[in-house]
This record gives sequence, C-alpha cells and structure tokens, in this order.
Amino acid sequence: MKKLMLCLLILVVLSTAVWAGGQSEALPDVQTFSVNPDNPAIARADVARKGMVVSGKPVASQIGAAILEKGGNAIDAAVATAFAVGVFEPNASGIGGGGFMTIYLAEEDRVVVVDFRETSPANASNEMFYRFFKEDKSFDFYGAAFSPQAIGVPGEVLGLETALEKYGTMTMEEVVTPVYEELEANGIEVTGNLAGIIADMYRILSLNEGSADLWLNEDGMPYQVGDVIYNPDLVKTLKAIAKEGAKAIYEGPIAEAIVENVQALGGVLSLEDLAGYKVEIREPIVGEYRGYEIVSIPPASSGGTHIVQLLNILENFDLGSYEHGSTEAVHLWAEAMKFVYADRSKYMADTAFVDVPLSGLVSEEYAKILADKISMESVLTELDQPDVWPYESSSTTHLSVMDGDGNVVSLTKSINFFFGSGVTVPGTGIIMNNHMMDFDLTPGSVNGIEAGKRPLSSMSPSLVLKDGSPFMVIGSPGGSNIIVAVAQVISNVVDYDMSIIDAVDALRLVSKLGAGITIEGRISDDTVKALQALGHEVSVKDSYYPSLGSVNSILIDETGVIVGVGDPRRDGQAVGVK
Amino acid sequence: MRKLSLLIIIIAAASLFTIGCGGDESVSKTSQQESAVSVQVSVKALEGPIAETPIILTSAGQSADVKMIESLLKKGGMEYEINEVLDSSGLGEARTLVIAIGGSSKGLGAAGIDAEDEIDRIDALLKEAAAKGLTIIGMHIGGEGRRGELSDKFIKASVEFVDYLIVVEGGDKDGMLSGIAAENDIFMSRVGSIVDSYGALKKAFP
Repeated sequence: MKKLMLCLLILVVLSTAVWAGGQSEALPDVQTFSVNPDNPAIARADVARKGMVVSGKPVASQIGAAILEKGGNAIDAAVATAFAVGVFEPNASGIGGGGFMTIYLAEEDRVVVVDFRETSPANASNEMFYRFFKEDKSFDFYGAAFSPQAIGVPGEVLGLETALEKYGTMTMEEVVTPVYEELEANGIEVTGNLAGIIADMYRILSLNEGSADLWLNEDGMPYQVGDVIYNPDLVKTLKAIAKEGAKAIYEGPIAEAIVENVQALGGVLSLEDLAGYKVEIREPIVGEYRGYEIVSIPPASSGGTHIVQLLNILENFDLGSYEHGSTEAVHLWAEAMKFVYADRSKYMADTAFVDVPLSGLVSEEYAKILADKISMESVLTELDQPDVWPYESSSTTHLSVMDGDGNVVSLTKSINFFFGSGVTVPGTGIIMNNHMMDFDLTPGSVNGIEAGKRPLSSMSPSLVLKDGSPFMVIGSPGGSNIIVAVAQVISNVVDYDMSIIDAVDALRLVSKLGAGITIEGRISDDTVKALQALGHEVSVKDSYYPSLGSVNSILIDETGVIVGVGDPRRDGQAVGVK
Repeated sequence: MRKLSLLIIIIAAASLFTIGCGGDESVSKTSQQESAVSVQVSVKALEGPIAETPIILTSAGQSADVKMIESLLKKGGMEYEINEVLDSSGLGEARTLVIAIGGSSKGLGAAGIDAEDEIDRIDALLKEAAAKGLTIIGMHIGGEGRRGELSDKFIKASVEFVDYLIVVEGGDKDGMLSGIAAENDIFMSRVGSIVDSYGALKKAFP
C-alpha cells in the first residue's frame, strides 16, 4: 500500500514538472550529444543554460555550481572550485602549487590571463641538483624530484585571490567556507584513482613524516577504495585563508611552518621568497584554426603557443577528410607533433628572462614550412632538436567554468608530480610542489634555474571563440601531453563535427621524435600495422589512458545550451546550473 | 504537441515504474548475485612452517608494494635484507627469498629498467634461488589495482616458481593467481588486506 502511494505521488510530481516545464524551453538530454550510447563520458556530462562547472572531482564541481546558484560569477565559482579540487584531488594540485587561468570577461569582451606559476627561490641554482648526477653521468631524476630542493615558491593562493579581487564579486570567505565545511564534514573520499596513486607513491609518502601521517592509514599502509581521509590541519589552513586571505599563506605562522619544514629537510625556500611572490596578469596567445579563434596561455607556459602552432600545421591538410583514428589521420598528427615538441625544447622559457620567438612560433607561414616537410608516405626520423624535457609530470588538474552572463574561466593548476615533492608540511595539511623539476639543468638551456624565474610549463587553459564569443572552454592535465590532448579535442569538434562529449571521449595519441607514437587501445590492429609499415614505432596503451590528459570541457552551442563534460580518463565531472 | 507527447511518455514510464515497484527486490537480488560472481579455484593451504631466516626481499615489477612489505617486516621485527633489483649473484646467505609481485611503470622508470629486462632479472634470480634450495615466497598485495597488462607479465614470470603465494584477495578476482597456484601445487593464502598479509607470511616461519 505504501508503495502504491509512493508511485502515485511520483506520478503527480512528474505531471506537475511537465506542466511547469512548459514555462521555459526544455533542455536537451545529455545522451543526445553522443552518437555512442556506451560513451563513458556521458555519465560525466551535464547540460544547462545558466552555468556550468567541470572539474577533476564531482564534489568540487558541485561546490562551484553552488556558488553560481548563489549569484556568484564564473570567477567566484572557479576560485571556489579551484580550492575544492586542491582539497579533494590532493595528489594533483593545491595550496602548495601554482597554475594559470584564462578568463573571458563578457561585459568587457576581453580575455585576461592570470599567471600564478611557481617561481624559483632566490637561493636556488642548477648546482644544487648536481649531487643527483651518478658516477656514470646519468641523472637520478626521481631522486631530485622528491628532494626538498625541488620545491618552488607556491603561487596558488595569491593567484586565486588576485583573480577574485580583480574579476570576482564575492569575498574569499564566501568562496572558501563551503570548501572547508565539506572537508570537515565528509573528508576526502578515496576513489580507485586516488587509492592507486597513493599506492604508487607509497615509497615517497612513507619517507616524509607529514605525508605518512596524513596520506597513509593507521597501519602505515595505503588507504583503500571507499576509505575516507580527514585533513583537520587543512581545515584550519583554509579557515585562516577565509579570514585573512592570501596573507595567511605568504606571511605569519603558516608561512613560517612551511619554511621551517622545507629548510629542515634541506630545501632553500625562504620567508622572503614567500613574501616576495608576485602574480602576473598577461595578454593571451591568440591564433586561428579554420575560422575559430584559439585563445590560450603565453609563457611561462609553452602550452598555448604550441597548441596554436600544432593546429596551424594541421590546417595545411584536409584532416577531416581522413577517418578519425585512421592511418592517415594518426600519421599526420604524429608528424606534426614532432615539430612542436622540438621547438618547445629549443625555444621555450620564461619571457621575463629569455627572448622567445612567440610570433614566429604561432605564425601560419612558419607552420606552412613545417607542414611541407610532412610526407604521407614516410616518417620523419631527424629534426634539429631532441626533446630535452621528457620528464614533465602528468599530475595536474583542469577546471572549466561558465556563468549565466557569459563570463568564462579556464583554469589549470598543479603541484607537478603526484603528491608533488612528497613533502606535507606538518600542522598545515599543505603538500609542497616539486616544480623546480620543470627547469632544465642542461648547461646553457634557456630554461635553466635563475632566482625568481618561472619554470616552463605545458599547462594550457584555453578558450575557443566563434564569431568573437566563447564557444569552447578547454584544458587538461597531462604534462607535455596537455598540448596535444587539447589540440585533438579542438580538432575533433572543428574537423569532425563531434559533440564535445564525443570529442572528449575520442581516441587520443601523442608522438615525439625518438619516442614513437603512444596511442589508446581503441586503435584497430590493422591501423597499428599500417603505421608500423610506414615506419612509426607504436605503443598501444589502455583504451582510456590517463597520461593522455583529462580534458574537462565546456561547449556552448548556437541555441545557448551549455554542455559540460568531465573526461572519463580520470575522475572529472560536469555540474550544470539549470 | 511535443510537450503533450512528452507528458504521455512520462506518464507511461511512470506507470511502468508503478507496476515495477513490487518487483525491485528480485531484480536487485539478481544483480547482487551477478556482481558477487568470482572465480574460486581450490588451492593448497599452508599447514606449517616451510621457511627460515635470513630473508632477502626483492621486487618483481618495481611497484611500491615491496616497500609496504618491508614496512611490515620491520614492524614485525623480522630479520631481513632488501634489494629491489637483486640479481642472481646477490642471494648471499639468505635462506628465504620474498618477492613482491606487481608492476609499476613509474617504479621501472625510477629504477631505469624496462619490463623485459626486469623479467629477465627475475627469471634468473628465481632459478638461482631454487637451485640453491631457498624457500621462495611470492606476495601479491596490491589487490585489483595491481593487475593489468604490466603486472600480469610479472605474475606470469614469477608465480610458478614460488613455494608459497600470499595474495590480497582483490588481486585474484579472476582466479588467475589461484589458477597458477593450483596448477603448480603451490601453497597459497588469500588475505583481506595488506596488513593481514603479514600474518600469512609469519605462518611460513617457525
């Protein structure tokens, strides 16, 4: 009887909902945006009209969407989501790291870039890493990466505060409070992804007292799927940020705790480094791809420049005429990528210290010269430059946000490796980055360590504009694979007319000279054989390979419907404001 | 008209839902039964000690699991040496070889070796250990997360050589590990967690 009553009640509610729906045009179903009903990205997508938040963790997207529902703009929501994702995806980013954000301000019809990348401490130098060269002259990269010398000056909190103060409408307290309340009440859920990362990083986490206390269970072993990790010290730190703003991190007791711990371990980070950290507001890199405007990050990230360069090269071919994932299409991508990575190694660095030929790298004329070197019948085996930065980590996170007024934020941030340097500062819950490893120790490199310099990044929070208005909001983690992951999703939409859900789901690859093609397992055996016959080395990975990015994206269609999608390669999730 | 059609569809769907309301228990039972299916293979249980100290601990696949086993040995006060890249000439005076089975591309990268070289190392090591009469104990403690193409290579390369296999049960859902143990008449213990694996290990020693 109770069940019958419940069912009748549901009938009444549904009927009411339908009549109420008559007051405004119904939103299309998420499934209508995919040609493949088994597409795993469908479960990570949402459709809305009044706003959208897509991030690396469902709970972070929900916190951001709640800020939009409270009347916050895209910048307010992005800052809240950024703090939240740093808490609930602790391996990828956080207060001890840095990043970049690209913001479209609808009312002013302009794009600004907020650069909060880490900087080199004043006392850092290439020499401090020389002890990691072994007798046989090989470099113990992992030894260096998890040394306290690898910790750069974090920029995240000052960057988020700068964006909030300049372009947001809410206070730090309003955007941070829901984050620490959620952490305090429900802790951090250990997903399969997080459990695997903790297990993989056990060697590093168990060596640092702060990390072992926080990120391993009471038996000193990795947490398992379904466990919950509480981080009361981080709750305290977030409460201090809510009350005092970024000042709480860059001076005073938390700053002192950070410096004391890092220096006790042998690092060079100082209170002066923290107090002197500066956020940079920059003009974006702009390019064009088949009529769409690509707006992205300038140095100290290489990402935007090389996304534009890669697409410029491909614009010389009728890519869409080749079937997606076919031998010809994969070959074209693979060859074009080789040029991009070679140029990145040769030229890219912090433009405050080094002249970088940015306009040349993004010019269509230069791209044409490179495109002319690509043959459909053979494989390039020699270029001028090898890739000298092969070690960039794939542990980063990206979030995309849009509000109902058309403001847009594309934000990528990182602590570099999974759990950064492996150093968790006792009493603060903060994991310190190891972004000093994004400098190049090769003598004479343009990307060598200098005091205050920003290490080169591949982070590429980007926008695609159509007729001057935001069309796609896009970015990814994935180290240097970010560049090609973002470019492939843009191409999937532009060249193959895919929905954003299918574009994010679609097969991905990366190719570097000397490293061959790394491609997802959905490639056909026949195509692999054909690529090998052409001369490519092909490494086939899992069907959805997390190292090839997690492109958490938004697309705004011509009817004003906002489609958001989290990448199924990691834990991404879109949450819309209907 | 479209809205009217939508309303009709929703009412029809809701009606079907109403009819289905009485039947959901059996549906859920079925799905529970399906999800609980796992391959159960009968294996030989360890009945008494088979090993003696000193222990030497190494890895098959360079995952961090070897460090977890080291932590357990240390905490338990067992005498051991560890060499994650132990080769066949390094067995020394050890009487028992404990091998942590499971691959990690990061771990292999950090050790500067590729999977094929690692398999060659393990193969030579296990053969030498067997020839010297050492007891070989394999531990697969990474559960389901330590399975897949890479880890399975190391499982196949090592498990058939061990005298006693300890497995955190999530790693044997498909019965692959117990299948190899049964086929090769190997003692095997399935345990619920990494910490429990220490108890199973301790049982092998007097």
